[in-house]
Amino acid sequence: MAASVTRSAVPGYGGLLWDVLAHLGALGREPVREVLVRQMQRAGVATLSALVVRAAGIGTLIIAYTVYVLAADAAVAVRILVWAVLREIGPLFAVIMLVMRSGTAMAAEFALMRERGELRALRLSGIRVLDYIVVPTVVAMTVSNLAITVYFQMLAVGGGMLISALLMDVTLHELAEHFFNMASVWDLVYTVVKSLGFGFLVGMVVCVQGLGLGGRPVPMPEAVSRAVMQSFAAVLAFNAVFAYLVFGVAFFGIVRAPS
Amino acid sequence: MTGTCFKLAAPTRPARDALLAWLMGLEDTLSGIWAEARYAGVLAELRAAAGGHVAIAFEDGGLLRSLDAWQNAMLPVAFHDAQELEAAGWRARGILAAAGHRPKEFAGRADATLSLYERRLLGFVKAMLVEPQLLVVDRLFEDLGFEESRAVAGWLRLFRSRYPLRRILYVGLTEAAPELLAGFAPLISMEKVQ
Repeated sequence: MAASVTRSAVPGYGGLLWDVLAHLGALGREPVREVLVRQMQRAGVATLSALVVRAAGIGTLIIAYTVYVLAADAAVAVRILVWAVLREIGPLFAVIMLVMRSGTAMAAEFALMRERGELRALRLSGIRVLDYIVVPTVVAMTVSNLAITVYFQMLAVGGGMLISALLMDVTLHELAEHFFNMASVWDLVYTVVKSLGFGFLVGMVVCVQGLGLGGRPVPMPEAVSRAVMQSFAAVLAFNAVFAYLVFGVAFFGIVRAPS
Repeated sequence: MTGTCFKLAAPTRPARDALLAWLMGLEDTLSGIWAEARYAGVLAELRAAAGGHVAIAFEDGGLLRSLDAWQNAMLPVAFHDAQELEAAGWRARGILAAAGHRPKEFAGRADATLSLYERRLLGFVKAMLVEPQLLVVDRLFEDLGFEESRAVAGWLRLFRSRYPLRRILYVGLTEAAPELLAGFAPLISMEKVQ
């Protein structure tokens, strides 16, 4: 009963999606906003600090690999940087960092809250778990993932070009010129939508697994493990569907839209 | 039954949770042993009379680790009626003072530093701030020493003195010492439930 007192507050994934959207108004309540800020600090700020070196390193590697190993010119290097970092690696790397650093911690915290009876107490105090925990967490993960992605892309592109200009036989001006010629607003829109989708999915999975919603609650270690695995599965599935919808291609060209 | 206080022993935690959820209006039907004819009528009357204005003083305070002691006590008011927060703060100070404590003792304290007694006190304050028609007291005497149990009995007298026409339902896994619940009517025969 203790579990069901908590569980029956929110249905599984299907209903949760609509419930979260329908209860966004809960963010107007002061305690919910405090949870939102706390989760954004955890999900966003904590992850951002870990990105600087990795992002710049990835940008540099892509340019160096293209120029030296593939013997291509700076234009090709930047083209690959735009395609890889802006469209694919950026959002994916960001969401991996989000899941590993914040998703695991939040799933563990929620599972502990459930095991300590805090969720039961919340519900029996007339405070819906959906309003107080799920909505701010999903919104925090969504917004934070967008911030992390944009930050990663800026560092990977900017840092990559800067370090490449310092270490290699290309100028920063040349790289920047190629970049601004190739990058489009469409790339930005594509990235924003994808990042928001990734963050939203991870937030949902973390809440469902951590809080034990819509199914049999599992012990904390298993909840964390499930949260990680299901987050990645959800992100990869969304990535494939999104790529198919936008470019008509999925799974590296194995699946193509009928012409 | 106006102003009457009741006590009953719930044999298991799931049975207790089922009752609490139903009293709060979170479950539509009364399940388990409570649905039996000898309990259902009285409990249904209690629930109907409360009209949804039910608060629970939890055995562990029902506190969240992520909030400090004061934030925990204020959470239901902050969540449901933030405009009342300042007034509720003053009421909470008054309740703590009446219970023989200074609000300073709890300001900014992390949940992990609170004793069981202090957690229960904060849970009681939290419940009082809602000004319920029915105060459900969940195992508050269990696992406490004699002096602390007497202090808890004083909290219940405080509720009764402030709201003489409202009701208290004491729910425990075992029967509390009779002197602590003097004036409480056994809602259901303890022998039958146990």
